[in-house]
Amino acid sequence: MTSVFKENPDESNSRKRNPLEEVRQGRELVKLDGWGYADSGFVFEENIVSFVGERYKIGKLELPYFTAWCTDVLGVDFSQPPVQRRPLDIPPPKVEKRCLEILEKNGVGFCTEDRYRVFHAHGHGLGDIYAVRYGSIGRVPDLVVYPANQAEVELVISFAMEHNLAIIPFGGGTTVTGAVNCPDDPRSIISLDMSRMCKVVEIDDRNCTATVETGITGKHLEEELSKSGYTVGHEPDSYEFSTLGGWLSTRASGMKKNVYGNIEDIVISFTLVTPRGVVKKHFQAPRVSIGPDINNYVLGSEGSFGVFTQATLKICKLPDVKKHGSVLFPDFQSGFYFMEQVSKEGCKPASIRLIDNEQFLFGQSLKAKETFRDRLISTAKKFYLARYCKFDLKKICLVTMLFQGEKEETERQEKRVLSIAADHGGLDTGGENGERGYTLTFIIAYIRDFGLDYRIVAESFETSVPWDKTLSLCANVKNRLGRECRTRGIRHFLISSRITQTYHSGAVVYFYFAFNHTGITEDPVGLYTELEHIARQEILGSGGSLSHHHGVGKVRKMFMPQTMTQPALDSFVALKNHFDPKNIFAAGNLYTRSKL
Amino acid sequence: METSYENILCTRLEKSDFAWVTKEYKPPRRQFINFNESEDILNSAPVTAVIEQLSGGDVERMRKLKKNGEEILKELCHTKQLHWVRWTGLVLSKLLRRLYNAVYVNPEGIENLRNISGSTPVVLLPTHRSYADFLVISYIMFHYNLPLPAIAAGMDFKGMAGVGELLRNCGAFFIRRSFGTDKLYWTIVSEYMKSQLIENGTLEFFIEGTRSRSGTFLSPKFGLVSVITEAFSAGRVFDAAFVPVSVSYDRVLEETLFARETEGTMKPQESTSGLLKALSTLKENYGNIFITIGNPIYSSQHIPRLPGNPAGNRETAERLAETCINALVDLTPVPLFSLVSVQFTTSMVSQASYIQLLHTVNELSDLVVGQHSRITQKPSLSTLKDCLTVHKNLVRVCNGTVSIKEPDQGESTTLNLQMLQIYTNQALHRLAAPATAVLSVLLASADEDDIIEEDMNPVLDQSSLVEQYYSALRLVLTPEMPALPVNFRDGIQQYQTKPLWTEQQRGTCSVNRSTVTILLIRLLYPVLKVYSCIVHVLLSQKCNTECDVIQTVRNLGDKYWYRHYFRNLSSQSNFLKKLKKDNVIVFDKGCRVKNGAVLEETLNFLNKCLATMKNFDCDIQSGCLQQTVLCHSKL
Repeated sequence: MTSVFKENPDESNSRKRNPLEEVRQGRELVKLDGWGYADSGFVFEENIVSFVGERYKIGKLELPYFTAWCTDVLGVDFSQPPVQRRPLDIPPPKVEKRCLEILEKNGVGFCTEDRYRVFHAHGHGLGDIYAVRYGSIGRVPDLVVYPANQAEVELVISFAMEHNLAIIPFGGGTTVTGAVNCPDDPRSIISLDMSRMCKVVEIDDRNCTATVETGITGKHLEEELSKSGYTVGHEPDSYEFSTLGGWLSTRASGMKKNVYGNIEDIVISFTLVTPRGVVKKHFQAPRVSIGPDINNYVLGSEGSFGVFTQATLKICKLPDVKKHGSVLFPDFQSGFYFMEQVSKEGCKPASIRLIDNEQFLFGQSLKAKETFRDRLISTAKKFYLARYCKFDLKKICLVTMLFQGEKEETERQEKRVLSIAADHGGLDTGGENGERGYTLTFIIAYIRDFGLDYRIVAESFETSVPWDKTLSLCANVKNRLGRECRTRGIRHFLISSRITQTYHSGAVVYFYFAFNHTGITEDPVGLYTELEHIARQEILGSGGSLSHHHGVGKVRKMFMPQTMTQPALDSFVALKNHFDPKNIFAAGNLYTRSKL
Repeated sequence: METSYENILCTRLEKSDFAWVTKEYKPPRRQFINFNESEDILNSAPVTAVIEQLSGGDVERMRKLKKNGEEILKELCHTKQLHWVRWTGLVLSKLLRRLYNAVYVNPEGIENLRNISGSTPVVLLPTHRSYADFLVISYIMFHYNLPLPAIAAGMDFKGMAGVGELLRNCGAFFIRRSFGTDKLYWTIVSEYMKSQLIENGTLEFFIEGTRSRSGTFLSPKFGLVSVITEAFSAGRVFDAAFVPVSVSYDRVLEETLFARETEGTMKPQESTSGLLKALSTLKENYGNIFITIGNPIYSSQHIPRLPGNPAGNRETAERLAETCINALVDLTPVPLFSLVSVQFTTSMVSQASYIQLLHTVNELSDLVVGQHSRITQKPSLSTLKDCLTVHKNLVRVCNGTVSIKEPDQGESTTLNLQMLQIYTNQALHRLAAPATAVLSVLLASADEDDIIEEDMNPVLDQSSLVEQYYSALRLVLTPEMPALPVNFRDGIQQYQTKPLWTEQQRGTCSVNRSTVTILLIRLLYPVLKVYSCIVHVLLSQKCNTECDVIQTVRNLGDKYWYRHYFRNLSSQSNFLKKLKKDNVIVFDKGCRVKNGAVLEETLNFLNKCLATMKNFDCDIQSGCLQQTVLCHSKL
């Protein structure tokens, strides 16, 4: 691998000379205290909520219906000033000068500036953003290191072993599980930012693979590959900002997994640098039978064993056709049974999602102001639905779909899916509604951040569950959270469920849960966490899994003993002790045996 | 814990019955959603699985089983319709007004129920003392605009022409009393109940399984409870709240029937003509009904629902059922007349002076109230008089003396005593705790005497002896008298106001010989005597079936003055159930003693108890009440 860098000594040198400049350019584009691009987001001005920024399909837009929705559903009082932000109290970096000198001598880029240390101290969970904006952030990494290649990564790790420092690998920082948050560790903590290692090293046309450095973001990766007519097709909702390394560390899943597979199906081989040395296979074969597969037991280790530096991925030709579709169902059950049948018949669209009534109405509210003509049409539509189709507008649910691939094949698939939909009482509502659903996915985090200013705390959580338990799980979580909210005096809350992925043996359920904490508590995040834990316990009790793709991190760690037997859990500890006996990678995610 | 009640017959006096039944009925909006998969019970996964298993893959048998399933479901399900509920309510209103002075309900319980019934599936668990129970409960649910329950009822009613259909239309569904090992039947019932829990939102069944003929609490049947806990453990529902409801009657409609049944006449088959005849003769005053709704017992707080644990395990259901029964016991107020009947059923003397009676009732009532429990009415000259009037079929007041009436011609001579025993039993669960405490002290001090006589160093101090005896007694008595405090210390605290025993020098206690202590000992004596007889019969190994054992023991009692207690068959079966549960005896192809040593030990212990009691009250065998005690209480 290192040979790649040796061929370009100039470039590598130039990186070393001015590493921070390069990083800054990238970081300046994104917000430091919230999700996404600095120029995009929701604002409340002149009595109306608007979305600003031109990066998304929703465009620059005033949202009168959304403004009303906020007030009606979540009881937002826009006459109140937004919650006051508080300046952060950041402890000075605790790192020996000697260490910095060694790094400098070896030409490894690093930084101890406060704003970057803070950026590396958190992910994008509700608690993280709340802490950065209004509260106090806990421990912050003492030092951010920006390696430019694998050799530098190895150097940093051996340097950390020698001086007994802790390392937390950092990719896009989009975690919602507290995985990059600093542990309670007396040692100096290094945040190992991989963003400079973002090159597509090689595209192998014959074998349909691409070798890529792990610091690359999903968006960047797709841009690079599309130049050669390829795609990896891995599109988690965070793909604009999350990195390949992060995907490998959390066993990520993408929206189009029906076509391209999840990350474990996409990755063929990788390089993982651990304190014990480099973990790597000496070959690149499509499948092997040589004992327990290292891919399986290292993926999803959440930065506990080491850091991924490079991976070889399956790539596919860009699809000819991309087409959205949507079907309206009279209720959640019928939409669900439709999804189940589609999945079992194997005619799966690239993506198929079912959103419940709450989310459907929420999605509808994110429309621009209707002209008179539009309003006439939508009124007529509503009338048609209610009278002619006998749909209850308070119950209807929407399935959104994305078809892609070869033109004929796609059309055939669409036809088949729509005929199954008709059997289940669904009504074809066209591509526009479908596309809206997918756009919403990318801006939902912006809405969460906007809500924080107006005393709404919100977050999403997910699970995977067998078919026979999916409906009862959705009902149980909604019922339980509803009851817990009411008994706590929370009047305005929203619990919405969405089925985002289907497998042969089950489905993935995504919940949005938001509430207005005005006058309820001084510690909304604490209350939210309490409620989310209750919901998670309900999920586990209803037959759901601890996580489908978010990971465990620190926030769900306490549930790990419920997920498998002790010998199974211990095997993780054994692997950890093998790869990292001195606990250099000290993030403390997933599972640590309690020290007695 | 002071419970306040309101009389619902009184609060709607201003409205005519007709206006009442045609009022707007608006139960709280249901806030929990239901994505129930098994609307089609016969095609639900568990039922199809059972059919597959039973048929062994044979198509013809499968078809037959499916047909069988359809019939079962048809026989089972209810057909609740609001207008039927309304018209039944009208008739019931008229009846209640005629028979009862008041129907008291605790409004606090109603509010609790209203709060949870919107957000959680509810299972109502009423006590079962009368056929009227579930009618009364649906009646108050309608009155308070609460959701009407789907009620699991015994098959007995179904045979009554018209009545079965009527009850079905009011929300009752019928479960066979015995269905052996019919797996298909049980699966369909269980699936039906689960779907009712989710769809109807409120379910009701009797945790005691059947009407308690004797007035005591029956040990809980956990079959139906396990259906609910299973639904919870398997994640079918997010929670289910068990709400204990005590329905307590001053005078039970069926008292004569029950007494006759206990006396040995078999239970008459339920029939519509019988019901109409019975209704037409009901002209007397039956006093008040007290309905106390308790706090919900949430499944989520009592059943660990951890992945990896087997769903619906039997022990958790059993434990929960016991928790529910204990809650019911704590909830149920003691009828004032029960304390009156204690006076008569604990001695041969069939009359007492009015003043003496009031004195006894007062002392017993202090014991009950001391345990934070409730008496339906505070004893006073006037309430006692009212209460005796309600029961004028049993007792006569004449010249300041109260005496038991002779039964009508053609009835068994002990019929009225038997009826009184039913009322005594209703106080038994409350008086059991002080009685057990007194007996423990007696036993301990008897040991003390032995030790002194033998001139040995006391190995144990008395208090720990008392504790030991108490827990031994509790072990024996709990199945019969649930909710006994766990240890003697908890028990003793409650009786500090009126000492039942006095502390002597060297820290030992001796029981005071007073009316109350003697009554308490006499309450317990027949209970333990019955147990010792059972153990005796079991050890002799002459009986083959459970029925045999019970019948033999029942006949053994005929020679004692307290034979009315021996006829209380539920006491026998409660004790046998305990022995079976402890795996001491087994009934399969005849009775088998599995652990003779334990039985011998139990017999010795029981005999020791009985001897100690006899020592304390030498007239216990003859049934006389000592003159001194009577005189003492007159003072």
